[in-house]
Amino acid sequence: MDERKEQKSFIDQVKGKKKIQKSSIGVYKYLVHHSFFEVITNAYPEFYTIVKNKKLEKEFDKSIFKFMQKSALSPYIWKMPNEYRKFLKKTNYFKNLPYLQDLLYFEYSELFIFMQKNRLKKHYKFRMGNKYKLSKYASLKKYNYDVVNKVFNKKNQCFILGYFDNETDDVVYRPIDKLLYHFLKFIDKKESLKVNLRLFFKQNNLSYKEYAEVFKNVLNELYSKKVIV
Amino acid sequence: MDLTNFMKSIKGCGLGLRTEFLKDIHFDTKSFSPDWWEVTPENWIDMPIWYREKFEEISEHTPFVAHGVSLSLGSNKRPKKKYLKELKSFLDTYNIKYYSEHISYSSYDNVQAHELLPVPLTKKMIHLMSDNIKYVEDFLGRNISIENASYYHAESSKLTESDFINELLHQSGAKLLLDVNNVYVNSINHSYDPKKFLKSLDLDKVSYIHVAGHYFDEEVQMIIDSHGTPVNNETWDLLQYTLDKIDVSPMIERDNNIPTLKVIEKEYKKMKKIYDKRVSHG
Repeated sequence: MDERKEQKSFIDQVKGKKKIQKSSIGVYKYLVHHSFFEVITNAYPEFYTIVKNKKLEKEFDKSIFKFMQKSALSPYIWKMPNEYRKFLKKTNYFKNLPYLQDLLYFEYSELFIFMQKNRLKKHYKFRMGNKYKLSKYASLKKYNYDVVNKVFNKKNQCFILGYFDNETDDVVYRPIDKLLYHFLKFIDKKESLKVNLRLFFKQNNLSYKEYAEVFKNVLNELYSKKVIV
Repeated sequence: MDLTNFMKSIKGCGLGLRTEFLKDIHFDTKSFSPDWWEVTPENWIDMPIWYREKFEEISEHTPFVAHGVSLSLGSNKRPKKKYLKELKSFLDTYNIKYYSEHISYSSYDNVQAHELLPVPLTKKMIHLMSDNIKYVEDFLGRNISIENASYYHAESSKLTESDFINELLHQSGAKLLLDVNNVYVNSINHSYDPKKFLKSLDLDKVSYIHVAGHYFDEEVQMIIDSHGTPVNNETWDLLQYTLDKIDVSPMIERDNNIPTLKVIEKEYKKMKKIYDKRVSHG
């Protein structure tokens, strides 16, 4: 008897790669699928609503089984939704949902922001002469659809900043303008904010005098929210 | 490594720590707290700062025991070093001496099933699992306990379940985390006498005991070890039966449909009563 062959055959049946040979193995197929289904639908509630509304449940189930077969690698179950998102990116599932990746990224970012591990830095006075960068716990992303308002019937480019708001104890998403988006992508800790701002404006042929004050106020607020640290 | 005192520094009864309980755990004299908490490292290693502060506070007041779910000791691949390093760091950080896993596998070729799957009950499997157990023990610098799992499908077996467990304990040197709910669930699903099964186990090697809830699933016509309902009377009876034979600590596992701490406190007190009765008999 080859134990490993037997285990491989068992797991192939459980994960839908091979036909179920005994009803008792079917119990495991049900349990494993249920566990994946629960985690994925809890992480992506809006996506699953669309799946139901568009009657895509069969495709959804197929995608889960295919995902289970090769792509669920992390021992941490909370990372499963992101593994599933990345898996879908490489496949043709839901090809009629062009906004799929935008939506999944947006929904997963809430979990990612919530899972931040470290107490963010002690709060000092904001100064343009200091060096700051975007917090790794903030989500800064350009979307092709209005994911915040769940408008998916037409493309609408938007720039969304997500972060954990300590005052409301909740994840907050706010649309920001394109310029601020690119600036937040641009800043690093090699130079002060002031120098970064000058460099950025110069590269983009913008008047420092015209925009600097507006940026300063916004950046001050983002610092108070620990979006830049 | 000396196993004779395994878990002896942990006394009384335990509960599984869940994030849902955190807000209700306080350390004034009137507040409820179990004698010890069991924590699942996979749920806490990546814990966000919002949970970690409370978790650390609890760890300073109440002993922790760790119970893993993803090491997959019966797998064809050894546990990944990256995860073992994270696990060891977690155990060391919170000064957790006791760690347990399952007699099962939950991944194959490093792909997760996130479910405890039944291993073939053969001598070769004992050898393979013992190797994995020793590897994990060396890495973690700790002796571990292994839990008898519930199973709904019996792979080709050349040994009885109790022979397999006893031999695995002997070869690996691990202790047994005895889940009496799993014994009950398996006894019904596979038609055997749970007390006779318990008697056939090497009970001297039990480190501690799990109890949990189960339900009968109409669809699959089996009892499912769900950890999502209160502990059933049959399981309480088996706990009492086992505690009459050995002096170890029990704890309640609740992983689904998590009630409030107040509700689980009532179950805890029921367990404590059974446990104390055993102590007074002793």
